[in-house]
Amino acid sequence: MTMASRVTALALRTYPSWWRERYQDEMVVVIQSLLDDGRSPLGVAVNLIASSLRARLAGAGAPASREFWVHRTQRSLLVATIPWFAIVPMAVTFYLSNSFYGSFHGLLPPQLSRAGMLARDFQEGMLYVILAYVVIALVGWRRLRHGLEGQPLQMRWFRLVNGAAMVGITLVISALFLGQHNSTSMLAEVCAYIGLGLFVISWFSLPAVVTQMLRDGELAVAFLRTEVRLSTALACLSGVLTLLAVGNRVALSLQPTPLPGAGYWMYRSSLDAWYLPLLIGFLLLTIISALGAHAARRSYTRTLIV
Amino acid sequence: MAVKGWHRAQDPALLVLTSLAAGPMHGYALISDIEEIAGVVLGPGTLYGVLARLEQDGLVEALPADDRRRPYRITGAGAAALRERLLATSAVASVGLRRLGIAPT
Repeated sequence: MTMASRVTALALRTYPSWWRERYQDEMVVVIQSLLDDGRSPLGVAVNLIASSLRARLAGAGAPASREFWVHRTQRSLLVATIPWFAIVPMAVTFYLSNSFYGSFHGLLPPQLSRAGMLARDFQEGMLYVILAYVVIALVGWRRLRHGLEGQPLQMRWFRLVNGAAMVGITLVISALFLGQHNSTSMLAEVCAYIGLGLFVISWFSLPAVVTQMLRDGELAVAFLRTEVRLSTALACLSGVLTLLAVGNRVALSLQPTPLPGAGYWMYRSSLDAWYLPLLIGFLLLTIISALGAHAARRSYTRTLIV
Repeated sequence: MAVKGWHRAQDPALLVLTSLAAGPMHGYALISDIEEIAGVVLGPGTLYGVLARLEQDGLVEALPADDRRRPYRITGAGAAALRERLLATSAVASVGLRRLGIAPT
């Protein structure tokens, strides 16, 4: 096998399995003829990869069976919603990294500049978006469980993760309560660490549980419709979060430099070098979520037709 | 018959249907023919994406494979859609050319 054939064979593997089953054999013959004609293997590979993405999104040429499209919608829903589990901690980190600092000379504290106020508004906006995000995700979770009720699913992992999260939250609340009475309480510290640990473990295990539920179960049309709408809302909110993060950073950088010896009141972020990786993360997750929501909407429409 | 995406100029779907109007063809023959009639070089991914969509819309159909080469042919609905599209394009082209002072050939 030549290098060119290997590259195009790899590109062909990016197509979904149903596509390969139907078109791969004839495509291989066409690709080979084009390569023999002197077409660039890289150009052919790029064309194949772009078209495979379109095939995944549009699902043209896929089997016209209702079961196939229901499962495709559910898989797309997963792609649209799984980034949520990473975006929320990232947004919380971003939110908590902003704080005030300043230097006072005289009786009245200096005013925050307009850019500083804007940065603060963007940061506060993030909090509202995170809250909206959590509410939408909880509604989606409730509908998902309701939609899969009565189906023979393996719920053992779900119960375990759910239980760990509940115990974690209870321990953290207990730690806060104990700490209020005795700020050096060893018990409070242990409760806080174990509680947080359990919560984090269950948070990052939940995507696997949701994946299993959506892979093994089958949602009715009414539930699919709600989940598709919610996933679209989550993808839009991810985009809003990304814009707020960019706006916050731009506003922070536009704050005037304090004059030597004068008092100042500024807004700052402690992210420093972590800002760029975090922003790239936001962007990538938003794109993945938007593509998933788009594919889910298209697949849901096909579910109604077939 | 209204088909999605038919408004674009040099629409690959229009080119594929025009090419298949000459008779059944397999993938490589389609690419060569389209390059010859329109000067457009279609990639294999683009071609099969269009064929899948046209097949799904019932505008083309696949014939039995001949040594891994599967020919496609235009259906009755495909011919009607192509005729409608070409007549509309040619009407616009005639008016455009007349207004530009060029006699339609």
